[in-house]
Amino acid sequence: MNSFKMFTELGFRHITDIHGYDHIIFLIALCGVYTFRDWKKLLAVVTIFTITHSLSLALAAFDVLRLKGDYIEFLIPVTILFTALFNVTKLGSNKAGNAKVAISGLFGLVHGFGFSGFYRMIMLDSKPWYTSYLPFNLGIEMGQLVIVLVILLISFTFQQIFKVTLKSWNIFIAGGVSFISITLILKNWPF
Amino acid sequence: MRLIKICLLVIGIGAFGLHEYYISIFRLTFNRTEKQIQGELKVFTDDLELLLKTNGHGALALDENTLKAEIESGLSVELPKYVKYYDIKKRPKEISLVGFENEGDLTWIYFTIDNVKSIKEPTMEINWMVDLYSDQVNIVHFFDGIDELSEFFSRSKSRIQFIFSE
Repeated sequence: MNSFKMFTELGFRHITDIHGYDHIIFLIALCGVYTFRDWKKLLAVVTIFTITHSLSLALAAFDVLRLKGDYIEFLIPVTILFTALFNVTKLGSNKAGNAKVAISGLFGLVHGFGFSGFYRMIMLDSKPWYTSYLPFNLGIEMGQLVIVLVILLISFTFQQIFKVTLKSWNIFIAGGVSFISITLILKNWPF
Repeated sequence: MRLIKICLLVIGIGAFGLHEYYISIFRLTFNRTEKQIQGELKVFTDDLELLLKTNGHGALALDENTLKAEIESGLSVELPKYVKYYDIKKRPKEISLVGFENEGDLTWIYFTIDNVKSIKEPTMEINWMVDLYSDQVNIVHFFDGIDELSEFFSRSKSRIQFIFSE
């Protein structure tokens, strides 16, 4: 295969890898309160996440700003926990509001630094930056899109077919995701 | 009730720790004038230290300059063991270590494959690190001076033929 396809596949594999599930769980927390009907708002949330994580990925990968990996590994589950708990607050469960968009943008910066560890490994120092950065990011976005669609389908199934109320669904997502993120916080405690 | 069952499932997922990604990157460039393939292998420093230790070369810290000779001795044994190159007639070619460079969590290993007249349809067999990590992925970018081909190598797919258009 050519290297464009290779880097795209690496980006896709990286975000969809079930063994590295922290980014997947963040997306679950981020999309938890939305349904297919809220696609415009969800698009804004996911787009701002994409923009900010692409920015911090570039900053770290090209040595403009590098944060210690231990702190990033710790901060990622903190963002997940915050987002999950935020979903059950009045502000967080308001799907029309922009608070979730702001959180998504802010936390996208943290997750971009998380992607950069892997990206620094796969990038080729002897080739122009865009030959790996662009396809790698494209792969991440494709993977992110697939994950969001799966989350929405699962959410739809529970709410429309099994008649689980949005409130119960929200509590379930917040509870499950919080539990996982707390275990990750404790495991990655850097202090 | 159904929701509780799924909650338990989610909690079960949380019980599994995140695992690191196991990956190494090979970049091969064919130099027609010198009839040589120049290779570099980018690897996580801790993985390489573990490989050397596991295979009996001792606990070598790659950032320790005084251990350079021991490290290179270990690498010159290990690299050809896990990385093999065959020409179009399936004849193996020798892989020679040039040296290594450590930069924090990443290490670059440099090597050459000599007496290569043409790289039409070579085959590579790579089992680098797969003894240590069953889900290790090795990526090879092979540049013949005109085109570049990239391939994923893994435990289940360790032998791949590159077909350059020439």
